[in-house]
Amino acid sequence: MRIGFPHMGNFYIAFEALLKNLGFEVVVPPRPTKRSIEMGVKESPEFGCFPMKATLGDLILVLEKGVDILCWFEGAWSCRFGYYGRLHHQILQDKGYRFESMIFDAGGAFKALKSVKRRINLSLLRLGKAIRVAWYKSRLVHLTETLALRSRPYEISQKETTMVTNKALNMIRETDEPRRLNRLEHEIISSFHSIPKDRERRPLKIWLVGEIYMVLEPEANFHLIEYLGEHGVLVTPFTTIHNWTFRSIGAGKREEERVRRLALPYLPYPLGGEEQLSLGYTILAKRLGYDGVIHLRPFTCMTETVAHSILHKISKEYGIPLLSLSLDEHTEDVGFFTRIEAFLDLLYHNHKKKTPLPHKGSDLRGSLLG
Amino acid sequence: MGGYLKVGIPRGLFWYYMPGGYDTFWEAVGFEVITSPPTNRWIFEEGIRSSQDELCLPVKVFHGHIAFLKDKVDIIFIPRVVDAMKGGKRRFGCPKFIGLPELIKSSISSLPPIISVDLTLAKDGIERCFLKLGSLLGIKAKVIKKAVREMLNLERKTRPFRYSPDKGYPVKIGIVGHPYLIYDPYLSGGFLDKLSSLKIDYITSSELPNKLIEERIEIATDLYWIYERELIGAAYLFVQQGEIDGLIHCVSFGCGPGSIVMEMLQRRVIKGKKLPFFTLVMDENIGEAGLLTRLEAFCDMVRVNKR
Repeated sequence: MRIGFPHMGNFYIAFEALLKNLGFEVVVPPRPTKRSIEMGVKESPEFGCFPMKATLGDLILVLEKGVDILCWFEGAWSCRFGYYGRLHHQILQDKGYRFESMIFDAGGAFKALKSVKRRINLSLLRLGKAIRVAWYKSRLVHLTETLALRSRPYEISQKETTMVTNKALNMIRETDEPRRLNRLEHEIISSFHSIPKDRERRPLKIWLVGEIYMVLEPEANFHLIEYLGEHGVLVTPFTTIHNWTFRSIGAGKREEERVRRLALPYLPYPLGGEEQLSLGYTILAKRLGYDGVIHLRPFTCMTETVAHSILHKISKEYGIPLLSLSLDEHTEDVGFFTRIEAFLDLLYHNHKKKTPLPHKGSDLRGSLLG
Repeated sequence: MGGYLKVGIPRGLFWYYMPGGYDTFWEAVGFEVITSPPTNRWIFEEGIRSSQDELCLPVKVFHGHIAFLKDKVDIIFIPRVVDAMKGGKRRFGCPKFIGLPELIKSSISSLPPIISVDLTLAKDGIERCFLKLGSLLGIKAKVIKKAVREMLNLERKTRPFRYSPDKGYPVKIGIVGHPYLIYDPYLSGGFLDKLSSLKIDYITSSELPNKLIEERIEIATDLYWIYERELIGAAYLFVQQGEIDGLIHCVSFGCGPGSIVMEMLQRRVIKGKKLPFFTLVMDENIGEAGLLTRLEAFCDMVRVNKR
């Protein structure tokens, strides 16, 4: 049974392990590229949001490699995300691909298990191991991502953190023994410790909020997290893949509830996406003394569009600088980074004590001048 | 009458689901009601100006209605449609409906107080939702109950939009779209009148009773938005009854659920039915001539197809 699924950030590492240990043959699509996104855009409805189009592109690439089953997660309040599985699979079937669709609903762990069991000989032992390995891997990815965020603004030679991160992620992906995964934790921590750092720096602190795919998928936001880190900014995305995946069994739940409470005066009901979190974390960012907030949303996103209007009010009331950007397949990196750079300049102006890094930014200008 | 508080009701979005209903309620509890006029040029432009770019057209125009009311009334009434029980499950309003009062508060400045009633119909009855409002305003429960009854009676009795009588033209078209879009003469560019002048009969999704619609929805298209279920169910009904010769899906640019409904209509409902289908997208740049050309072209196609 060959099985495929779309990308979102480093989500594939844990999910691949889960499916592999259950006994499926897993096909991981190549990371999203301009080409895959274009393929998705061609097939999907015009007003659909960017995550839908990009993930559809992933699925097409997976199908070209040949799979029997396509996987998807569903479940939301009233965000469109809840239909994307069904719609994707319908679109692909209309296009002539043949496959089975396996859609996991929210909260239906038992139902999901049943649909897996229908397809594969499943023992309790195997299930236990699969979940254990996936959980370990997910936690290690979480650890790696967090360490990378903390070390990147202080690194002395550029890109070193990114190199270490990639190496660590590769190691996590290749290791399958629970015991060895345990040992890997120390290895990862020490490898991040050994990066030479300049602890004298006082980096800007920015919180990254918005729609989850746009924040966590580096190909959707032009590797914004790396970019900010390498330009000497301590950036905190509002959640991680690990917390998002295991939200239903309580990862990061207490913090989330607290943040949702903060947002209640501005938006008393959840809308289904991350809008209350966007609002709440903006308030939290101010309380924790952050210098600014960047809000990313896909064009025509229903929930974040509502949040966007309210965010401006919060930004004014709390006095925290806000940059809200709407991205889609037509966004160009040059325009995007120009606005980010301008925002950073403004923040440096606000906080004279913070030291901007010596300007490294020849990458953009280089690409402009050829 | 001078001492009464004035409550403003914007004529947009929710208003079209129960025209005049909320007016009756507020009059019955003893307020003076001012409803904003049907969308006109001033409201339209004010709405576009004061709202955020990416919202859908009806929500933008709704901002204009609020701007019209804000200096004329003491409070503004905006109900919040959160959820309802449909087809045995909890269904939700569009995110923009759920966040509507906050959206308005954050984008228009110097507003009078906004009173909203949370229509959480999945959990409470409509009466209970309004009782909460009553306790907020200090109105007796008895008065509220009577007012709600009057409101519902009016809705049941009049239903102003239900049933546009057939004029006996040979061709009939089904129209699927939100009432706040197709019945707003300015937003829709008066395209219902244009259909009449093209000698075409039409039936809209809002004309159908809700109960009939709910029966038709199939599992594959079981949407969890209250108002979009109407559209899908109505389309199924139109197609199954076979009385229509063409189907128009009317949607505003930037409508989130609209993108899903559009695909489901094309891929599920009318697939393999040989029914002319046409999606009419409304945005703020739509011109009357362009609209008319497209409608005429579609109607010609329907006529040819019928022969």
